[in-house]
Amino acid sequence: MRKTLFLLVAIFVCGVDAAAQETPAPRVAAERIVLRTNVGDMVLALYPDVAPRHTEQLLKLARLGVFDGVNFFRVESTFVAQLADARYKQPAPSPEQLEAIHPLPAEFSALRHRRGTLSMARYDDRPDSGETSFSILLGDAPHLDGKYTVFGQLERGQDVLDLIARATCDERHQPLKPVVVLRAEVADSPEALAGMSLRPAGYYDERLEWVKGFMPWGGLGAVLCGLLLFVLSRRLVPAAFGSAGLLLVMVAFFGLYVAYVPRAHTSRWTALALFLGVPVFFKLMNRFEGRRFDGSKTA
Amino acid sequence: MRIPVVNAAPARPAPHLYFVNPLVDFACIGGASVVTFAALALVYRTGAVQATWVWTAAAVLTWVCNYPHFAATNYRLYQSKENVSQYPLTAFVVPPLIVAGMAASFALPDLVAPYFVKLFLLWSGYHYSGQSVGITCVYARRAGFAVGRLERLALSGFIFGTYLLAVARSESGVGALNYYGISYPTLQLPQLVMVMAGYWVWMCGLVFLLLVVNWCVTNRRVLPPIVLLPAGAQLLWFVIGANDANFNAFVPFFHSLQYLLIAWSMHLKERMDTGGIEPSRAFVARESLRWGAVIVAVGAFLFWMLPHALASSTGLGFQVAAPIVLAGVQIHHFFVDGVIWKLKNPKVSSPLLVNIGQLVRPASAAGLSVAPPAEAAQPVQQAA
Repeated sequence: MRKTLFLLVAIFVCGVDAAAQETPAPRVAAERIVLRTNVGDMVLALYPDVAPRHTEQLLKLARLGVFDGVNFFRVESTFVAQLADARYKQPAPSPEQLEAIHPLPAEFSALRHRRGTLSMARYDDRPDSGETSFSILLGDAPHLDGKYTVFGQLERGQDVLDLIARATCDERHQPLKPVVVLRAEVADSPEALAGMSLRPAGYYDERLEWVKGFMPWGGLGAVLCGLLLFVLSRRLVPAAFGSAGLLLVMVAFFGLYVAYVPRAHTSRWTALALFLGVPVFFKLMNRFEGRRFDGSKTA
Repeated sequence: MRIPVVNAAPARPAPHLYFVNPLVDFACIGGASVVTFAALALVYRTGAVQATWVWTAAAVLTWVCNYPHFAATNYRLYQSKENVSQYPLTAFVVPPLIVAGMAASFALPDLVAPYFVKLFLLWSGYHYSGQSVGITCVYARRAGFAVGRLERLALSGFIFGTYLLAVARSESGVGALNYYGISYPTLQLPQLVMVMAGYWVWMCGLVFLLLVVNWCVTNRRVLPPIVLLPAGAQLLWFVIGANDANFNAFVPFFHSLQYLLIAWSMHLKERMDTGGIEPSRAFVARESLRWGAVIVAVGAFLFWMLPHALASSTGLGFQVAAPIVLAGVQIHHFFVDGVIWKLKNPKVSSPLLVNIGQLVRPASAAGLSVAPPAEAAQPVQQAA
């Protein structure tokens, strides 16, 4: 009898737990926030039924550009990647942006804190103090359930989140290489989102965008031209052109290296090619202004 | 018809094995690093954290050895019109190119500077390895050990393998590394690359050792240990002592020490030959002091005055300017070293067989020939 009772209780508890785990996903707002960071783009879906005030406010702040230039100041690989308070970003927010920022009342719910969950940050002793700083969960955190407002979910950009989670940080969990939101955009509809080009994980710099247009073929072309000069020197072109060709190879190789190291973080083959390419390049540079010591130059 | 006739070279004594003497050569070529490593390992078991005195000691040695060693290269290139005219691109085209790289780094310190610094750091290890191979070949030649194609392949495979292993180790980490405040990204290589590089090192090392044993058996001679010392030191610097923070601080010093011993000997020999100066202790002392003073002064200019001047003129601060300038000067050093130390060039290889004893007293008194050894004699072609 006791065994049967225990079994019934166990089934009940498991059932309740399963029911809780299988809570239907909350309705997602039609708008999406697209965080364009220097390590790739992430799409955030918001829960207007669960956290209506948070949803409304965050969309407003994103449209005003409040998140532009804000960095992830805290990254704990199995816990959270937390955006800094936009009030203190550099350059400082405009008066219009500052005016739009205000504390949000807590909108706690039964939703759980899991990887990819968007959770509003607040001061420990003030549940209604959330403003602009929020976290993307990097792992499950049940101790936060019911204590922090869950207002959305990372919809796309898991690879970007993985890259952020792998960032090297100091003892205060601040990434050594800043992870920054370059721009936060709002896609008002799924169609608008479909029209946006999203960048995969990798280290990006907008100042390099103009280079990327011609980098793969332009860089490789320059390397090949340099090598051609080197090979043809002493045959078809004067010897000094061979060394000049090697200098061209060096400059082009440096450009390719700068452009491709970020890609190495998502492609092992790229990483391997760069790793092996470096000593080959140095070996080639050994021929710079080399002579055969019979009086003629090799390059 | 031209028939090559090789003149019979007169019997000449074999070149001296050491540049100075066993003690000095062993210390400079790698012995000092072995002793230092052992001493540090005894005092600090793990070496995970750098001791405070190590930083100070390394800084002092940097001033007296590292900076002068870079300056010695520049001095060697620019002091001679012949060198400058022989290597015009290295002398006049490469410096502006490097200055352009430095300017780009100053303009974009968070974008270009990390890669500029990274290029220098990657090249630096390769440069150390090249020097280790070169010095091994010099001592092998002095010892009469024939470094054939296979021996050179195994030796290079081993020495450059240690470099690849060290790079694979640092590039396997996630995130960024740091050089005097400038952080640069790693490639995030798979761990497997590191493992494979490790196997490669030991395989090449084993093959080289077997070739050495074979030579010893064939020639019924024991190979002088100093021939193997550069390779052993390289293994210590790049593999065995790589994780010892205390030891690592001194590795550039050990590399510079190797360099300065040879550059000093070369400089004296060349100076004596070109000036037609008779061997004498006074000349060696005077010229050594003059040469030392010049390279210390040039080193101070390149590594102290130049970064400070650029830091104040660009407004970037010494913390940013210093690593960029250090990287630029050293990249130039790699270029210059690459052209002025070609062992295939008889003008380089011949003085590399000098012994200081020959320079402080007349050849007859020294019992050693100042002239190039028999194997350096060139074949003479005669018209039929």
